Amino acid sequence: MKTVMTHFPETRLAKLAARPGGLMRDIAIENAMKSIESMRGEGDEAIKREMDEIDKIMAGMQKNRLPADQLKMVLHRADLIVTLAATFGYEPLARCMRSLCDVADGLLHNGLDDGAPVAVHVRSMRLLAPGSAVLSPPQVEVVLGELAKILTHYDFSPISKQADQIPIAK
Amino acid sequence: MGQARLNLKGVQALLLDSDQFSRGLISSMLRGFGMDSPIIGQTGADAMAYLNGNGVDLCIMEAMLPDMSGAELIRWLRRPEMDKIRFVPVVVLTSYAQLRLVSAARDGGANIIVRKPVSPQGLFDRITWIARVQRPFIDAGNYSGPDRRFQSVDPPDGIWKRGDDANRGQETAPRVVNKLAEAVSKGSPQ
Repeated sequence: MKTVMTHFPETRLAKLAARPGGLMRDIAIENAMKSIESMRGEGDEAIKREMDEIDKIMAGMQKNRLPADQLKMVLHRADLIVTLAATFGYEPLARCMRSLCDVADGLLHNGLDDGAPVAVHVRSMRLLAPGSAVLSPPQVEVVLGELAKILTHYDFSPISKQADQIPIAK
Repeated sequence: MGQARLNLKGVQALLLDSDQFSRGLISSMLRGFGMDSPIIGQTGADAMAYLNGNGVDLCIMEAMLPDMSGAELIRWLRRPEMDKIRFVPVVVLTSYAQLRLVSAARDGGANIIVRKPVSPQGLFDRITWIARVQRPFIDAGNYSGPDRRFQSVDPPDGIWKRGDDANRGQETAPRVVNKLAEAVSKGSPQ
């Protein structure tokens, strides 16, 4: 029979946080928001850098095929853009990149190397990038709707649907 | 209810993220909360090297590091040989493509998992919860880490025990007790 031991450790974090003083929640959050906002320029640069990296991968594509190692790189870069775009409020771009993650992940998991669905996402990515021509909300929905059809065509399931169904913080 | 006040001055965090910009972003959030600048690392090996000789008060890491998964690193950290540092709270951050790693991180012994993009509100509330809610630490052969059952403590606000609890308006016993206690303290029992 296995022995189960239960400890009741008081962490140093708990001790320090309980000291008097410190910041009220609203002030702490406001400080952090200001810090993030001050990084918007760097964030836009980082998004552009990651997009350029994806473009480079696509430029090297041969016969419309993307081997697994290149798909993994696209997935990694797209995943970074999802985080950056959502952090700075570029929601249409974040949705487009989530869709690219789903497609790249689906292709990888099914052993496929089609480059076309990735290329369509990359073109949409440029349309929705910060600083590009502003699309109206209905136009954005048309673009994203077309991307969703790609996922349906391949019968890929979004990563978020396959993830563990345990509650996690947003 | 009064606002949470948290004194994070002097708290030393270890932040592990493979992306430079993400590291900068989380670091500046932590500084905004009043915390000292975190120790920065990119890989699991960086973390192991640092933790072998130093203590930290909080560990924030990605679910997948370039050289190992966050779950592997947490398992290493939670070993009995790690002495007191094994109890250090661990926050795991998952990006969209890492969502499949949630249960691995939980089973590895993470205290809480936060989905990227991390909002200041979300991160502050989770750190507050970790600092204020004492969860027992379980050693059960194949699992070492915080007790994953929420019997006497609630998960943080906005997180539910079961996926559909929020839709059903399901209240947990500790939440009901807390609300009653709050109402009584205000002199208006419901």
